Amino acid sequence: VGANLPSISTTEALIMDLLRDGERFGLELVDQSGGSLKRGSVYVILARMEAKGFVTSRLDDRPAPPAGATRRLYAATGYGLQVHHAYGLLRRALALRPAAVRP
Amino acid sequence: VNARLLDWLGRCLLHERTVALIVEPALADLTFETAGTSASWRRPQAQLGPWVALVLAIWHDIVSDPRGPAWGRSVRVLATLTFVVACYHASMLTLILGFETKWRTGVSHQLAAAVSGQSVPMLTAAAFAFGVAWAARRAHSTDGH
Repeated sequence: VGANLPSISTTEALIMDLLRDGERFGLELVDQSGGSLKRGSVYVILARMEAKGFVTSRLDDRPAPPAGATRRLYAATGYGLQVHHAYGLLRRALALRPAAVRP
Repeated sequence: VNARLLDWLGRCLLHERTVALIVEPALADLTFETAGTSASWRRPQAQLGPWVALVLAIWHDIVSDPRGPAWGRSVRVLATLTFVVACYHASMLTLILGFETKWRTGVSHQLAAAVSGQSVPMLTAAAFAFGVAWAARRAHSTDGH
C-alpha cells in the first residue's frame, strides 16, 4: 500500500509553501527561501517535483535578454497542494507525544 | 560562466528534457541576474550554481533513466568506488604537497612517483569512461527515448 503513496520531502514542502501564492522563477525561490534552497540544486528538485506532478512549468512570455535563454516559471498544481496539505496534517499528528494522545 | 561550454556539455551528456528543465533555467536565471542591477551574481555561489546544476542533472538523468531500475544500483556502486579512489588520491596529493613545501624527503619522492605513475592510466580510464557514457547516451537518444 505504502509504495503507491506519494512522498514529499521537507525541501519540496518548502517549495510548495513558496509556490502557494503563485508562479515563481527558480531564482526567486532561492532568494525567498532564506538560504534553505541552493542555486545549483533547486532546478533538479523542481524537475523531480514536476515528474511527480507536484508542480508545472512554462517558459516566460516576456522577451529574453539578447544573449540569454528564456526563463522558466514554476507553479504548484492542485495535486501537489493536496499532497502537501495531507503531509502537513500527518506531520502534525505524528508530532504529538503519545502521552498527549487520549485513548 | 562559460554558458556555451555548459550548454554544449549538457546537450552531449543529458536528455533534451533534462537540459530544458535543469540546465537552461539555471543559465537563463543567471543571465537575467547578470543583465540586471543586482550584484549578487558576482558571488562565487552564483557563478558556480549552473555547474552544480549540471553535475546534479547528470546524476538525476542516470537515476531517472527508464533503465534506472536495471542499472541504477550498479551506477551507485561505481560512483561510491570512484569516490573512494578519488579520496585516496586526494589524500596522497595533500601529503605530497605538504612534504614538498617543508621537507623534501625520500618518502615524498616515492609518493610523487607513485601518483604520477598512476595518473596516466587514471586519465586514460576516465577518458574512456567518458567516451563510453557519451556513446551510450547518444545511442539511447537516437532510439527515441
